[in-house]
Formats: sequence, C-alpha cells, structure tokens
Amino acid sequence: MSAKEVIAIMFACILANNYVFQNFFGVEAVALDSEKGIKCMLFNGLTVTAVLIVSTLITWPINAMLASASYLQTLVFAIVTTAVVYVADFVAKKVCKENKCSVLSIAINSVVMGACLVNAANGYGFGTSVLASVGVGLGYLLATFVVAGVRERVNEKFIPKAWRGAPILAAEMAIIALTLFAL
Amino acid sequence: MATKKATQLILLIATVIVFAGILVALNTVTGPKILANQNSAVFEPLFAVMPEAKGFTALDLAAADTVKAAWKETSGKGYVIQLATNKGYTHEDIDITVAIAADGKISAVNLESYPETKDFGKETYPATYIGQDSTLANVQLVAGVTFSSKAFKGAIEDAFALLIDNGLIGAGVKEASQVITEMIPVVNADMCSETGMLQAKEVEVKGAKKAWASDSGKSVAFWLENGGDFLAIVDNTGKVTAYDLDGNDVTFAKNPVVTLAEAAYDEYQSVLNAKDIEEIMSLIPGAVGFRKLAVEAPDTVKSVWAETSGLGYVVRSATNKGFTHEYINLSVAFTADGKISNVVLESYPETRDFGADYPATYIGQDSTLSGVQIIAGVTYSSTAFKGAVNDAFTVLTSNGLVVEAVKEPSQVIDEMIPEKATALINPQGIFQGEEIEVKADGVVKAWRNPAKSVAAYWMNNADGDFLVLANAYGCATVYDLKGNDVTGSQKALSDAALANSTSVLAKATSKEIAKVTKLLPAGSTAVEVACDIYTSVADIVKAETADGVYYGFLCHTYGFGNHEMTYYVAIDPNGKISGLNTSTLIIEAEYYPQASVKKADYVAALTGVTADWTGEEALIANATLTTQSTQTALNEAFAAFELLTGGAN
Amino acid sequence: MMEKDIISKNPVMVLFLGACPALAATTTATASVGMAVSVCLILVLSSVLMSLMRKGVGDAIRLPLAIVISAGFASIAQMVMAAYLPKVYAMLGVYLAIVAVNAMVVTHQQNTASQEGFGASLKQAVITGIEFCALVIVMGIVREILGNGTCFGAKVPFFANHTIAVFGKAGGAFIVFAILLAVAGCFRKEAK
Repeated sequence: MSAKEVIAIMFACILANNYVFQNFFGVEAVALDSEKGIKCMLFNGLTVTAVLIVSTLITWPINAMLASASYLQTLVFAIVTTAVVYVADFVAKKVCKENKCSVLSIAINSVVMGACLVNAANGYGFGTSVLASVGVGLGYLLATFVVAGVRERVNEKFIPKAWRGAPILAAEMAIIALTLFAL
Repeated sequence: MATKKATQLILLIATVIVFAGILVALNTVTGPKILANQNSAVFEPLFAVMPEAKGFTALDLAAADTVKAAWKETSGKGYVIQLATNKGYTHEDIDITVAIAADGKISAVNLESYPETKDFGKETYPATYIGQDSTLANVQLVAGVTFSSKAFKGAIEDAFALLIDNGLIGAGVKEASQVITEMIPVVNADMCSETGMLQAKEVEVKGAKKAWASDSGKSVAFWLENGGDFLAIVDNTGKVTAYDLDGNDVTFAKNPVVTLAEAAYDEYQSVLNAKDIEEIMSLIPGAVGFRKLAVEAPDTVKSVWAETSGLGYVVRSATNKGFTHEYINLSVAFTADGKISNVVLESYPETRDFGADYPATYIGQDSTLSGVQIIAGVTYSSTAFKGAVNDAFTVLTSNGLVVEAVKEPSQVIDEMIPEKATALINPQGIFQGEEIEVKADGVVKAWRNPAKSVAAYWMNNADGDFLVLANAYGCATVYDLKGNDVTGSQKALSDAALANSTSVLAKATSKEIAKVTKLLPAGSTAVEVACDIYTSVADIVKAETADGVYYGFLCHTYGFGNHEMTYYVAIDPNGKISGLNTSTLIIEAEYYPQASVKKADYVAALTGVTADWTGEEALIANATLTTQSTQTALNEAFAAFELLTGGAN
Repeated sequence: MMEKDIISKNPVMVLFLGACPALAATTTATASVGMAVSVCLILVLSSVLMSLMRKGVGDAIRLPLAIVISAGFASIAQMVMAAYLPKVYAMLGVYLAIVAVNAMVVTHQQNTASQEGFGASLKQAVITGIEFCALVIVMGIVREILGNGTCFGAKVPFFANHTIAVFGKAGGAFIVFAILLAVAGCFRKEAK
C-alpha cells in the first residue's frame, strides 16, 4: 500500500468521514468522555484505538470464515469486541494501577462494533481494515477533544432550563458537525 | 468465589450457545426468504416483461456490449435480454429490457431509462417493436429523434443477434424490399442520411419495381427483377453498379440486370427530361423546346439546356454551400448574348431569408455579376446563391456557348482588395475602408482603413489599371488587373502612392509601440521593422535576444458592429505566442454582457499557441464576431511572422 | 463503573444514550419507524430476559451478559426484518446491528433489569421504549419532510419544492435531535 493511500485512508477516517460525526458511532461515549479530564480523554481515546485495532485483527478473519453463516455476524462481533475490551481492562489494570478511567465502558461504545461492521460490509482488505480502524480511533479521540473544548466554553447558567444537559450537548455537536465536518 | 465465577462464566457461555442455536434455527426459516428477496430485486424487471414466466436462468454468452444480461425462461417460453446503449444523442445509457418469445418474435419491450433530450415517444415507440421478428421490418426511426431511435433499434438488433448467433431462435427472413432499402444507403453515399438511413425521393420508372432519385440529383437507384431481385445504382454519367440481395457487386457487361438498369435510366432520364422541360419551358418566353446538353460542368450544375430556336439557355443548379448544407435549387435562364433573363428559386432550406426579390436582382447581369450584392446578415445563403449563378455562367462561357463579359476595372479592383489588403475588410469579408480624396495624376479612387495603416489606390496609366497598396512604413506593392505583382515595372506608381500615403496614413503611436514592446522579453531593445504586408498587422517590432528574435505585432481588426479592435501580440523565435494584450476586448459590446471569459484566462489560453492552431482557444461563447476578430488578428500576426522569418519555423 | 447518576437522574440523557440509532436511521420516516420499533422491542425483550436471569447473575458477568442478550435479540431482529421487510432493512443497514451495543439497552439491563423485579423493569423498559419510539419517529418525520419534502414517501405540497438538504445529513440530524431533546426535557420538567 503506497504512502498516498495510507494518508488518504487516515484522512478519510479521521476527518472527512469521521465516524462520530458522520456515522454517529460512539456519540454517547463522546458525550460521556468529554466531561472527564484531558488525561482520561487521551487514555480513553488511545484505548479505543487499541481495542479497535485488536478487534479488527480478530474479526476480519472471522468474518471471512463466517461467509456462509453471515447471520451470526452481529453476535460474534459483539462477543469478540466485549472480550477484547475485557482483555484491555485487564492489561490496563496491570500496567497503570493508579488509573481511574474505566475501560469497560468501551464495551458499549458503538465505535468499535461500528467500525468492524462497516469494514466487513464494505469488503475492505485486511490492511485497509486495520488502517481504517486506526483512523477511526484517532477520529474518535479528535471528536472527544473537540466536544470537550466546546463544552468547556459553554456556561450552563446561560442555557435555558429545558436545554441543559443533553439538548445543548446535541446542539453543540450539531454545530461541530456542520462546521468541521461539512454536514 | 472461584466456583461462583466459574458458574457465572458457564451461564454466560450457555446464553451465547442458546442464542446461537436460536439464530441457526431461525436461519432455516428466514434464510431462504432473504435469498429470495435478494434475487427478486434482480428478477423484478425480468418478470415485468414476461409475467407468465416461471423463473429464469442466466445465459453466459459472448455478446455485443449493449447486452447487459441475457436470461432464458425456465419453462421454454423464451428469453429476456437486458440492454444498455449509449449510442443515442446524449451518450448516456438508454436501458431496455426486451422479451423475445421462443418463436423469435418480440413479446414485450420495457424502456427502463431514457436520458435523451428529445422524446421519441417513450410510451409509444417501444411498443412498435412488439410482434416484430429479427428483421424489424416494420420498425421506423422517429423523424427528428433519429439518433435516439437508431440507438434503440441497434440495441434490439444486438439482442436478436445474440439469440440467433447462438442458435437459440430462428432468424426472421427479410423481405426483398427491406433488403433493398437497407442496402441503398450502404452502397450509395449520395442517398445516405446522417443516421445511415435511405434518404431519396421515390419515383415511378417503367421497368423498375421501385426507383429512387437522390436529393442532389446525382444518382438514381432501381429495384429490378430478373429471376431474382437486384439493386442497381446509376450515377449521373450513366454508369451502372448492380448488386444482388446478398450485397455482392454483380456488375459485369453481359449481365442482363445492367442492361435493364440502363434502359430504366434512359426511361427515367426521358421522364425527367420531360419533367425538366415542362418546368423550364416558362423560363424563356416564346421557347419552342429544349435540348439537354452533355457538357463539363461544376458540381452545382444539375443540367444545362439549350432552347432549340436559339433564344438562349437554361441552367438548373443545386448548391449545398449555404448555411444549412441542404440543397438550394434554382434555375437560371440566359439570353444568347450571355445575360441573365430569368431566375427562379425552386427550393430554399436556409434558416434566414435573403428576400423574395433577391433572385430578381440577378436579371440583366452578365457574367461579371457586377451589380449583384451579398445580403448582409444572410451572407452564407446569398454567397452560395451567387456562387451557383456564377457556376452557371462558367459552364456556358467555358463551353463557348456565350461570350464571357469583361469585368470593369472598378469591379476587378473591388474584388481584388479583400484578397490583397485584408486591413480593409472585416473578418466576415465586408469592406470597411473609407474613401479618401486624392488629387494626383492617375489616381482614380483611393481608400484607407479607419486605423490609417493601409491605403489602397486605383491607379491608371498608359499600361492600364492597377491596384496599388501602401502601408504606413513606406512599403508599396502594385498589382495588375490579373492580380500579378508588378511593383518592379511600375515604380512610378509605387512612388506616387508612397508620396501620398505619408499624408494620409499614420504610423503607430509611441503608446502603441510601448504596449507591444512591453510584451517582448525584458531588457531587449525593440526596433521597428517595415514589411510589405497590408493586413490587420499595422506595425511590427523585433527584439534580438540570446534565444533568438522575438517579434511584436500591433494588429487593428474589426469586432462587433465593426468596432475597431486592437491586439498587441508577441511571438517568440519558435513561432509561439509569448505575449498578448487584448485591452480592447473589455469594451466590446458583444463580449461585455456575456463576460463569460476572464481576460486573464483568455490571454493564458492563447499564450503558447502556434500558427497551426485550430482557433478554438480564441472562442468566446455567444460572441462570434469578437471571437473571429481575435482569430483574424492572431492568424495575420502568424502570417507576418512567417513572412519575416522566411518560413524558417 | 457506570455514571449511574447521569443516567438515572437525567432521563433525557437516557435518550441520548440511544442517540446512535436515533441520529443515523431517521433520514426517512419509514426507516425511523422500523428502527424505533426494533429498538423498543429489543429493549423490552432484553430487559425481560435479564430480569428473569437476575438472580443468577453476578457483578462480573452482568455487562457481558447484557451485551450478549442485546446482540442476540438484535440478530433476531435483523434476520426477521431482512426476510419480511427487506426494503426497511436496506434503509437501516448496519445500525440495526449496532443496537447490540446500544448504551441505552445495555445500561437499562444493567441498572434496572438486573436489580429490580420483573414487573418494575418491564414497566420501565416499556416507558423508556415508548419515549424513544416517539422521539425517533418524530425525528424521522421531521427530517424527511424538511430534508426531502416527502412523508413516508408521499410528497408534501409545500416542502417538496423547498427542501433543506442539511436535514438529510449529519449536521441536520444533530439539530433536530437537540431540539427534540429540549422539547422532551420541557415536558419532563413540567410533569415533575
């Protein structure tokens, strides 16, 4: 794969086709993550990327094997991604003992499942899939930071009661989606 | 604790297995349904054309590229072919699904998509194919929408070809009449329309089953029977080419078909002649009869007739050199002494009318056609008409039938100026010069161009009449009435012209020279060059550089409304445009409202262009006259460059 | 492990947790009805199953089990829809599979179903499900009318000629979602 193609895929996954803002994967997780400190966000973002890569490494061959029984795809992918998350949690606990950020919440982060399914649906080759999942993870990280940045600026006091919490968050994401990722 | 964890794990795994089991079981029910759903999307259009089908299997056969997919109906009802042809007008795919029954006839046709700009009858036209077999004998092309209908027909033909070539259905047998009418445009280009169909008038000729005469009058086609069916094409010299139904050329001397064709042709000619004579009888009052003449003639002349009692001649012509390239038919009657006595316009396919009384302006003219004008705004049509009348005169004068009139010097001079001094005409060929008063011996008339760079003198001395051209840089050329350059032998005339030109012409201003020089490489010194040219190029400067000699040209030509347009052009030593200033473009009334081209882009597109350009780079949409003035200026700059460099590049 | 406060205190946030399908599958009203009903059913069925199993489920496997159950029901939903409603299935695409890890479904199972009784968790599931349905269907209708000028495929007179493309796309989805959440929040506050 040429450097140009690599850059193109990364660019696509991180920016042009950001999975959070274009495909809506991981929206909730971004919402939750963006409230935590920079350390946590960075940690989560990178862990998500790691989980993504490992999941893709496993699910891609499995998907190839499952060709005739494609109806098992959802169940198998869900199990695999959850297992990978647990392994990641285990590793994290061993490596950074003082870490307070939970890894298990990645299990319900639809970015992981979403990326694996989209890779399978589009029939990407092995290399492209792995590269794409790196891009997706970094895109997720970017999304978290951007949303966090916006949230910081918004002072809840000035927001009408009905809009506080989730609604204004959705509105913030709307503006981010419109401006940064061109609809 | 450990056992609890273990039981937990077992519970988890059990749940997974149970769900997996449910899914597998569910799959037996939903699996086939899902498969059927997927397939139905593919099969939908097939069932749409053949509703009574039981099912389809795909045929994997080599086929023309318009065939997208071919299917065989499983119970033997026939075949369904899916086609996509882009040979229509827009070159986008026209999608067609056609059902051909086992007996080789079309049972249904669906037009799936139609991107064409003109509607050939989306609901009605495909239906005309139903019941047709592979001959498509009764299928027409739709008038005015020929490309689209031809593409459609071609696709259906491909579908048939696929099935027939693979022995799946029997080919329909074409009737002889269909074979003949399809063969004619193939073997006779004179009767072939733009879309490859037969384009000719049907005529009745004794001895032929059917006969056609081409619109140009140059050929006739006969369907003859001689134990079989044959096609014979006869051109207007009487030469016969005969074909059998398989398209083989069967023209050999003893072939009875050839004899039959010749007889039919004579018959046709006499009928035609009779018809012609009937039509032209009224052209010469008091005519007794006409005799057709067999003479060498230019190709616009259809026939030449001599009135039998010596009253004169009639020439019948057809010219397609007008605007629409369709035939303008006319007949001209001449008196024995070479003057036009009558002009009849028989057909006029042009888009603009040159006026009902225009043909009448030719009456009384002799072969010089000196009193005849070209109608402004209908130049192509009137030029074609004049050309046809001129050809009619040529056929009479060159065969010694009438005396050629001698053109007055004034006419010769008027006709020579546009050729020799393009500075005085606009790009459309219309004279733009203004007459100037010259009080000098031997000068009959004089003109100069509005830019005052070129003057033309009609001079007269003991040797005759001459056209003398002079430009602002002291160059003069003398032409005799035959158009020959006789400057060497008529020095007195050229001196006189130059002497006068200094007072009526003006050299380029220093501002203009500066603008040209600006286009030349920086740091080079520019010197003015004198050259004996009388075109829009009014001034030339050259600059010697390390790379070679660069030339700069100041050009004055005419744009919209004959508004004077100035161009500054620089050409590098390799003959490429290296600099261009089109400052007057912006005030051109034709260009400004469109403003579709940015000056910078326009200049950029023209930079680097060489003399063998097509002129396309100068195109400005909806501003034809402005475009033509740019093309003229640049072409004349290139010509001047050629002259100066001696054609070295 | 999970920020229980945010979830149970702010019901609108609960809806946000199901945001992914809401935003993704609501470009047309038909798709949104398909998604809403599917998610609702998956939510209810998963909650029922989890609450039936709650006695045997310890802390450690609660999350994985919840995911397995949602994934299982999501798969069933996918298969049934692909077989009997292929057109709607085509509109939902990969998002129906994502319901397997849908935060709303999973956290509901974890927090409510595994702790409260069968009846209570069923009631909660149904209520949340219906709220979600309403949100998603309204979103679908609004996005289709404004973005495409049609409603369930039928052309709407004024809007058909004046479509605002952004509503069919990502940004528009967020906008409509934000507005609807605010409206939901309004009602909720009033009810309280």
